[in-house]
Amino acid sequence: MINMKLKDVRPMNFSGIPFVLVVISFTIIIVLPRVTPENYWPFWIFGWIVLFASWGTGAEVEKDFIVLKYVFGKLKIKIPFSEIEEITTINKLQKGTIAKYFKWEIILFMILVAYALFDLIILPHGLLKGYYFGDIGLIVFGLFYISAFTIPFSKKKITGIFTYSFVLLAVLMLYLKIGSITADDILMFIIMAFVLTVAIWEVYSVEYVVIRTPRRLYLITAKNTEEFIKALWKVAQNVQTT
Amino acid sequence: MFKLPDRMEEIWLLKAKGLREIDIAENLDISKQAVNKALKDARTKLFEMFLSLAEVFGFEVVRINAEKGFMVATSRELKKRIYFFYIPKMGIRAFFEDSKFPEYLLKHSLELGLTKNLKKEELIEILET
Repeated sequence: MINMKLKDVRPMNFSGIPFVLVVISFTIIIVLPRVTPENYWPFWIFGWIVLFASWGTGAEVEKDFIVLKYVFGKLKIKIPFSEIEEITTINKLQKGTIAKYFKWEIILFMILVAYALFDLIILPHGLLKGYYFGDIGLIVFGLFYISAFTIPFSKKKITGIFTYSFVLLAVLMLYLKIGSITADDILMFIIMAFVLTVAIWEVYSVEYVVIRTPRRLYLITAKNTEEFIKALWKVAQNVQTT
Repeated sequence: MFKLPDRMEEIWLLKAKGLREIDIAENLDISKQAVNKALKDARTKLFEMFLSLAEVFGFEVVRINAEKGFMVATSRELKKRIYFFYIPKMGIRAFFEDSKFPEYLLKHSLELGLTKNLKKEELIEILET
């Protein structure tokens, strides 16, 4: 029997209970402050805790199962090896995209962008600029993740072009909303471009592995899938002999 | 040779063609549990076969599909894509991306519902998406 920790492997929150937690946290963090502007802080903090809980903390092999850990290691999702139908490193496919496998994640980001755009349109003039930047930031980062997950990994440059064009879109949105752009605003957009650069690096610095069973899809990231594949090989051999 | 036992192969092939477990059980006059067990064993054996090949020859594994029986890998030395297919009665066959795909492979892909035409380009598109 094999028991081993899978090094540098992190389960993503794109399906099942973790995805439900993401939807709940997004709703609490983004929508609640608009619905109940007063006394939303405790809920807002709770929303962030829920979001952190949805993040995978690690993965390991336990006998004939791949175990994905969530909710600060308290929630264990066990995938029987014999039920796995497919394992794909999406970023190594010539036309691999996350959107093909996890459409709900893309729909969630689309709803987020649509909500932020609607909110930006209905916001009155003359508010603190932070209100506008909040919505513009959501739109830009929502669009970034939609692009990064929809454009094949092999076309990284196109994602880069799209990403930085969203900063120009952000400038345009602010100008249309308040009618002027100040030096302080430019600084904010430079910071936005910098954070997007970090986001691009983060998205492309790991490998994405989809595990498909008859019932569900799971997404994990790994610094290097070689070790993960070797671990699977050991499990396969182990299952054969038992 | 890497090959599934005959009965297991028969069950796996019917499932790969899209039949439900209950229908396979009725067709072969066996229990649904026996079908389920055979499919689990077939998937595990196919994974083991493909992963062993990749390990022995040092190929980088990109995709393994035990349901339809194929693997997409890259040869580190030749820097080329290699496609492996489990073909019933033949076992595992490998094809380089720039090689000619034989008709039996294209027919097999059509039978499994991987492709709709006997075209290599269509098959590669499916495998790489």
